[in-house]
Amino acid sequence: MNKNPLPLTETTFFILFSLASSPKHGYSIIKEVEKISGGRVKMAAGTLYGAIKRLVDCGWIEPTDPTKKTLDERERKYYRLTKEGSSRLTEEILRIRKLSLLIKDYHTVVGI
Amino acid sequence: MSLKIFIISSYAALLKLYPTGFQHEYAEEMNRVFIDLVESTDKGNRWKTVRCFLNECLCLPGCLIREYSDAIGGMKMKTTKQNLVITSIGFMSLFLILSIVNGYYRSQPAGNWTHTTTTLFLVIDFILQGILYGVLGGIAISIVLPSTNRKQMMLACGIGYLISSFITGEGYWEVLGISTKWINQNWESFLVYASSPMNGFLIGLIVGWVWKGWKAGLIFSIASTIIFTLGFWTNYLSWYVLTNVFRDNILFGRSWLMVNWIVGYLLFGGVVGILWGILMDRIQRYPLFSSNVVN
Repeated sequence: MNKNPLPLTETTFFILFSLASSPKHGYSIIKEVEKISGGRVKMAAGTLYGAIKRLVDCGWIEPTDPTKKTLDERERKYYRLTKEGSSRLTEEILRIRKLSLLIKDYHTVVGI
Repeated sequence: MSLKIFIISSYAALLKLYPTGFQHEYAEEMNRVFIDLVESTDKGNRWKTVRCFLNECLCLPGCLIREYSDAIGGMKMKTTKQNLVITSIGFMSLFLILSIVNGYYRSQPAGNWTHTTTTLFLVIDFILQGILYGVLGGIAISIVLPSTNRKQMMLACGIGYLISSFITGEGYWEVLGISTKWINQNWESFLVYASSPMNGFLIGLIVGWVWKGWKAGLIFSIASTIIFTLGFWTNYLSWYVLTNVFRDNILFGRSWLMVNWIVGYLLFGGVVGILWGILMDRIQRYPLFSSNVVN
């Protein structure tokens, strides 16, 4: 993943955002992303795990139990944000906030 | 079989298309997530179930390209020079011997390289090329990929070359008494241009398949077809330059024809050797196929 990663891709942002409140497994990440995006973003499992792989590789998220290699029936692997991931998410949120303030000012100036 | 079970097993089969390293790490989870997605939509609505599967299928090509390009390396890593040198020497020496034999024979009056090659020469040429591809190509590959079996690689290279050369060499068909009356000039040109890509395709397919199975065969065949095509066009370009650009300045004769053969084939061998070296170096470094352990 890019060393200078801002702005995050939409998928990355939503995955990090969905993990901000608590660790989650793949299915619950998909559902959470669908919920927080108002049903607009429906991730396929392939897209999700491609992104998860890259986020794990660059240390932004991690499995809650990395020693567990195989899963039992119905058992799930949970992922959580790392400190690095959390700070990247915060940076991105601040960036978006600045942008939204700019847009607000633009509205005032232009009058739309 | 119910639609749900059919879709779930189809998805499990599709997961096998991912690189093996990725599969080991995530396929089980992906399958589970997909089952959850299907179960959450499969409440009497078959269309939603199908749509869920189609959604996965639509994103599959993009995901596969991304994962394979990640696995092959993003071209960030340094290539081992030794690997390039070994495969280059292997393929260049192979082509050097072939070029000397061909150059010598074809520069003789009886060996006009268009239509009058003799049956004996064709047979010797065919066998010699097969043996050389087998021995030199196979040895180079087995040195660069230590987990391969040398004899298997030699056989794979030799057989791949012989079959592909036979498919595209109408001269060889005539030796066996197969009619070539239907081959007009267009077909003849096509066969000439198709010969090297076909060599690359079958050598890559058989080497990859013998080494790591069908998926490796598929990837090797695609890469090798491109490599051999590039090699062919380098050879072609060298012929064009040597026969046209320098034609007026240099004594044009039999020995010049032989120089053409040697230079053209050496360039061909160099391109093929270096690119095969890069290909195998990448393949060796990344866990693209099952049990791809570097010894």
